[in-house]
Amino acid sequence: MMSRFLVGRLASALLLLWAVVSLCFLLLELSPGDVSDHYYSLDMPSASRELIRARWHLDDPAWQRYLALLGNLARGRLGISLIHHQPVLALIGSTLPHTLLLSGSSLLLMYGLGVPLGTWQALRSERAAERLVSLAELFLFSMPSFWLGLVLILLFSVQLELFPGHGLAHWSAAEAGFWSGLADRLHHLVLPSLALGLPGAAGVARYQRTAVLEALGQDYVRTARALGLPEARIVWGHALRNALLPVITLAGISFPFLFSGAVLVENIFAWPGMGRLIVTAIMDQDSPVIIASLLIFGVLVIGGNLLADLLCGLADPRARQGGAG
Amino acid sequence: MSAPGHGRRLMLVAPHMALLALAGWCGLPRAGELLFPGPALGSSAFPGWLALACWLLTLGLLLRWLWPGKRVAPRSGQGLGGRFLSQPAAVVGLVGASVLLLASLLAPMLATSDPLAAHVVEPLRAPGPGCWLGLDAVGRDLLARSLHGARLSLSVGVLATALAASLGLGLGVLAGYRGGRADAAIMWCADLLLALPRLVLLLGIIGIFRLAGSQSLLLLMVILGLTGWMSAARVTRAEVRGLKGRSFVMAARALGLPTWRLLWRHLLPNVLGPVLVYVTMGLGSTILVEAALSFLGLGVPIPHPSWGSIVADGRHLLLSAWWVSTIPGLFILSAVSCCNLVGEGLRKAMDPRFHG
Repeated sequence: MMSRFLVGRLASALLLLWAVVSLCFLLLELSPGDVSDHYYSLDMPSASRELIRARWHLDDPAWQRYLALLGNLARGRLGISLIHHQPVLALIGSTLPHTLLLSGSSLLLMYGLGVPLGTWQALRSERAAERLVSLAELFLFSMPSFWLGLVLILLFSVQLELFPGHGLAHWSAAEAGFWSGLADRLHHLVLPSLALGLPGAAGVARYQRTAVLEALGQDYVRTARALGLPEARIVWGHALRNALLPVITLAGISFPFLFSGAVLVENIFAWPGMGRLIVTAIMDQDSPVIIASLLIFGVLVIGGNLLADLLCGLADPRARQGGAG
Repeated sequence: MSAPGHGRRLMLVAPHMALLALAGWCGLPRAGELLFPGPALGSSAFPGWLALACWLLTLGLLLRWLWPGKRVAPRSGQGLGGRFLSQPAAVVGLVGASVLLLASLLAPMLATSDPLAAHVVEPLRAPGPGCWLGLDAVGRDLLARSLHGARLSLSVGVLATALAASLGLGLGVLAGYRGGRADAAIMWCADLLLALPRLVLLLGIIGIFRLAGSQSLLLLMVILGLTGWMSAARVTRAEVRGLKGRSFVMAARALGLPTWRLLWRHLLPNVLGPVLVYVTMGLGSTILVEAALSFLGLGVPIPHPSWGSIVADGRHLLLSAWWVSTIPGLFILSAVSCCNLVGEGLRKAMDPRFHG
């Protein structure tokens, strides 16, 4: 049962990835210019232009380039950046870890803060303090992450000078020892992950609150109460366990939002990650980089969904049969 | 929600949507010029009173929709509107949203200075009497820019959301009612679009069009609408699938009603309520996405002020002039939280377990 579930999910994930690549290719085909525009200058002899076009196979028919692209991707060849003249794999290899670090710490913040807060809210539902927290969450949730980032910089970096608001590490970090280097990295990580994670944490808390309230209203909780089980056991053993499923699903679908936010937050904090890579690649029409980074984002998102599905399947036998649909 | 008789509500909702769209257009200062970006913002081609009348009519229709009158038996003594208005937070959201809309419509009267005119004598003036929100780096009045920016940001948000909602409703009803291959194809497309980070996708599409030299508001709205229909479609589909087996649908089918009439008169009105919640929340997130795009310089074409682009103007001035970035951000924050408050209030009011 579990293996059929797994195979089905993997097949649909691969189909989605193929669609992502095709969508990228289609969009780039529809776009008017191509990368050679960046190489041309007015006094360039036409022979050189021909050479550039031949070098990048720009004059081949579209279907040929499409098939070549699919073949290369299937063999794990992401190509060479047309602007940086570096393998795309190397570019992504040097930026992806930074993005993963940022989104990972934000995800940790989202759930580390959101789940306990939401549970607390559900248990104290409709009291004054809870309503206040709920309202604060709504504001936080409505906050543009780029603006939150700027306000955090203004408060903690410019006014209070507590945390650095720029870059990955201090310029002298390379010479520092391992521990002080690590401390410096973490110090630089605080503000960006707050900017990315706080609105998300508010969203998770609201979601968790509903899920726990939902679970507390179920018949089995009433039965447990009627049986006279201690309240702590009811909350921990019954309500929270059942509220876990929707939250795992939410984790799976929150990846796209996390990466959308990362594009903005990396931009503000001069964080050298995938978000900045893809924005510059889009501006330069560096097609191999665009396709590869969208593919990577797609893999991350779909992988996250798959992982969430698997966790759900492990946690709840019912989910294995029908799927979420 | 009880089923029959709600067809009448649709009669109210359809013109409401049309009017909302028209009102959005009227909110745009000289729509035609913005669609084909011209040199100056200029004076409004639509008279302000017409825009105001549109918004008021829209508001009236919305209230009419919330209080269906005597035709539908109210549950628990209160109608939907009563349950909505009994929540202070929701009322605050509604009032806040109305105030923002009015302020954006009355922008030329509230802020007398030109949002594009530079005041070079005294750039970066701090907020104070006479110039309540300060001046930016080239001496443009931030109050005027924020209010005119509200027109653009709100209009883009409303129109894109209206497009996304109608697309989501249509596709969702189709998927839920037809089932089979149509359902699979539509939901697969939704999954595909949800698998990509929306902002990255938008950046790609807009970046590509920008290279063609076309960066317009119409394009922005259409693209935002085309990438935002998925959650409305999912909710609609789930609702329709639930309603399909209900007796009033069976009865309508047994009576030989044509399919389009069945969908239009019987299914759609019943689906609208839950979808409206998603649409209100979607409006908030559309405003956020538009702000993000404008912040990156790929949203509203640049001479025109939009909240996101004003924040971007001030991001390098944090050391010297904090107000340039923070003030338009507060406008975004209040607009989006009002949308979310209203959406939350609607959701609670429609919840059968409503209390309080």
